[in-house]
Amino acid sequence: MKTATQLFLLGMLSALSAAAAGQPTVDTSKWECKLCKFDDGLSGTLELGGGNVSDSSSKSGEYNGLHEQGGFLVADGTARYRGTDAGYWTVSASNLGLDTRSLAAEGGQQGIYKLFLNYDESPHFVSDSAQTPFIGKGSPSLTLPAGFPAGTTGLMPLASTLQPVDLETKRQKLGAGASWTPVRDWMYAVKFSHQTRDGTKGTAGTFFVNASQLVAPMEDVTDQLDVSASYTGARLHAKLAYYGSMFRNNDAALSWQNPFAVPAFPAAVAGQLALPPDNESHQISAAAGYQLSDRTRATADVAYSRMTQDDAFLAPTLNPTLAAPALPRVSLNGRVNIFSGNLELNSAVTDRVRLKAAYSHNDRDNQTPQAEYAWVTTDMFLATPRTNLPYSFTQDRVKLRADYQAPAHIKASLGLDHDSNKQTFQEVDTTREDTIWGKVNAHALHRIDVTLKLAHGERENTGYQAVDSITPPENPLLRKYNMADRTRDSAELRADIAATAKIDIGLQVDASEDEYSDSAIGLTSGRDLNLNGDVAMMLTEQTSLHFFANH
Amino acid sequence: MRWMNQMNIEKSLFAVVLLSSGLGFSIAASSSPAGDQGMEYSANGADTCLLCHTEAWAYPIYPIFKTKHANRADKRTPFAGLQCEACHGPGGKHATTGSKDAINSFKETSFLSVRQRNEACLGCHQGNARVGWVGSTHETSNLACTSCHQLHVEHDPVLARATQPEVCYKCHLKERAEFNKPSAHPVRFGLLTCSECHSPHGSIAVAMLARPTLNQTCYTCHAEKRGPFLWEHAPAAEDCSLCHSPHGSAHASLLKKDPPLLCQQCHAVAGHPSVAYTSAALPGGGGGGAAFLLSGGCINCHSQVHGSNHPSGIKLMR
Repeated sequence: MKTATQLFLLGMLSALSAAAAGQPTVDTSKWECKLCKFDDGLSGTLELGGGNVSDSSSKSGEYNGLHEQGGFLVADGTARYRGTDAGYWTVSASNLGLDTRSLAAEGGQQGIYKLFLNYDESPHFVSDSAQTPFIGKGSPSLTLPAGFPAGTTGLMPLASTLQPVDLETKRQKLGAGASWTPVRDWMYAVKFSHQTRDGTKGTAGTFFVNASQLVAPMEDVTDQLDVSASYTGARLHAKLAYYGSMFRNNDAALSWQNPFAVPAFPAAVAGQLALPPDNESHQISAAAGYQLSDRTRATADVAYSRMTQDDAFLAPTLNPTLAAPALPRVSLNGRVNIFSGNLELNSAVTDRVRLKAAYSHNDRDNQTPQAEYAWVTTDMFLATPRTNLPYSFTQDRVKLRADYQAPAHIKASLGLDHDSNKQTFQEVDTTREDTIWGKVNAHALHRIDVTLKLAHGERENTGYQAVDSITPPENPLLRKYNMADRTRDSAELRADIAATAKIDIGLQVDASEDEYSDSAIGLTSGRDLNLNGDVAMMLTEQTSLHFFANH
Repeated sequence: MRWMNQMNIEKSLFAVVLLSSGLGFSIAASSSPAGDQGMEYSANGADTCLLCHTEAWAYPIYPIFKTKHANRADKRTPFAGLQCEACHGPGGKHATTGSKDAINSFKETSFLSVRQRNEACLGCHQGNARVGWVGSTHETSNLACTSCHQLHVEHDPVLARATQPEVCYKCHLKERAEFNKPSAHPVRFGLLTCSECHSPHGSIAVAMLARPTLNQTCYTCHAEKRGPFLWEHAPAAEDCSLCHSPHGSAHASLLKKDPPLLCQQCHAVAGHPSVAYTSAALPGGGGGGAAFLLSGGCINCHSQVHGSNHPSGIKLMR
């Protein structure tokens, strides 16, 4: 027992003072903590407030729910209990009275287990000034009043049929979970959330070149489950986890009546948009970190995900005069496997030099079956059948970095990044990008910290060619910017100044310049300049003022 | 010696952890300015400290007694052991001389290096989210745990949804500006925190994201975009940030540019309006391109830009 105590103290002392050494002992027999004001028992707070919104504005109230003119009340509260046996619970509520209300409860025995439950709402007000002639806003079927269809927008009876419609959604999220630490090194955790979205959003539908602005319903549910077991040893950290996500949409499609009369296609009177299909994702992941020596650590993680989607297909058209050939399948049987793996090695090879090497691999393997689908152009006429293109990607990244801590609080870093992207069914099979960067940081007088970072990157592809199965073809001179050859130069200068003990100033300039040397059409160059200034004044430990400007 | 008598096998293992971590940084600390802390602990522990650091002290410390660190029934906590000196180190000399150089304050002016100060925290908080700390961007940028965390307050601001972004903005000036742009994730409204997308203690994923890939991180809130769809839009399946600025944008829907300009950077299809439009195409300019420029631009027709599961959705119009 005494040996363990001495080890404990030695660890603490070596951790807290470079000067400390040896095996000191400490007599804590008089450490009664009589002046300590431990907060055992029951306590709580209650806050009440109110305010007034001067004018209705969906933008001002976009995410806080205060989009309508008038007064409001708001309440926050907390109740907490802490027992002498490490048992505790806390219940808190915030923004009661507003559309952003939330509730949270947590309890357990500190260090052993924890249970929690929470609920919150998030509104999103997009517009309170939209109008539509369609009837059935918020439903999966939009119809038109008398007077439609018409040959042009100007001939439509909009003055008498436009009705106001709010575009808004509300997220409600209910979460629950638990964690358990049966012994110091092990922790098990489970977390579940049930999220619903309800409301309307803007979308659009078209019959050839005549487009209509539509109101689509949003009624969906996402359930997510996280389960993990983690181990923390003297040298080894490890975690094994499962993550599942299930998305369910109450509406499979949005149908709408065509407000435009199309004499050449008189049966093209209704169209149907597919709404996001039900889908699932399941992921198993493992992560580990191992302290190879006092100076060197290795970290690795792998994750394997499987995303699936098998919603029944909609009819190719609502036009009863078109006899579209039978679909090759009744549903997609969409399957995508994603494998992610990362390996990282860090070593403080000397007191001043530190090296880091990292490799990451990300593979999206789309196993969705291919088939030829007969299709109808905007419910007007049959088009040439097309085969679906299930895109797959493979990304490999290598990062090397060296840091040198020079005397006088100057630190220099140099790094090299290599990215390789391979993809299927696209104009470029492979792109490779190499970036070299350097950074210098100087710290002076405990008050000023200045960092300059410069980087130069070059990306090349293995050849740009049209994808035969995409028709009509793109302009052969066009280069898509995410696959085009590119040279990128960037610079960042940053200064953090502690002007006084209570005033901090931050200044930042960062700029980048892109050149797409082989792109005759498309994005040919890009420039980005950001100027940032930030001043923070700490008035008290609890109160501070911030000023910032950005260009 | 009561707390010592309660030491058990688990504490022995804990001691090994601390010993190894302590030795680890004591080597690296040799270039740091030597402190004058000494090795003597105070006579009465926290009672010694609180004689001077009263509730009237300019830097409030009493709220720590409302925190988990001050739960004596949890034997892992500082106040179940060496109390204030569990983190601040031996305080005997500081108590007798009042010298600021004789105690680890965890402030920027501390005689200990950032790494040494962090080891005091990591000695206990090593597991789980800290697996990726060593070598992470924040660690290599010389951030101290106390750069983000406050220990003597009842509610650490970085752990609260409403106040966390302000802590991150101390360094991430550009992100503060982006979240104040007209179209942004609702961070400034207190509905979303930085740590819901990022792992501040390190992750091997790009940009220290919470999930293995960028898109998988986005899908945690936008599962409807996940598909897989019958007709995919390749960049949407590959990388959401090819079209969106995840923190905020001056363009609607956090887009990098407004359509049609964004779309026409990659699309100039034969037989389709493929010449970049200018204001001359607007009705006021006498042009006939209103359908391509106003409202959603290309999205007026190709509204299923994230992918479509409609059999006739190959052009993302159904």
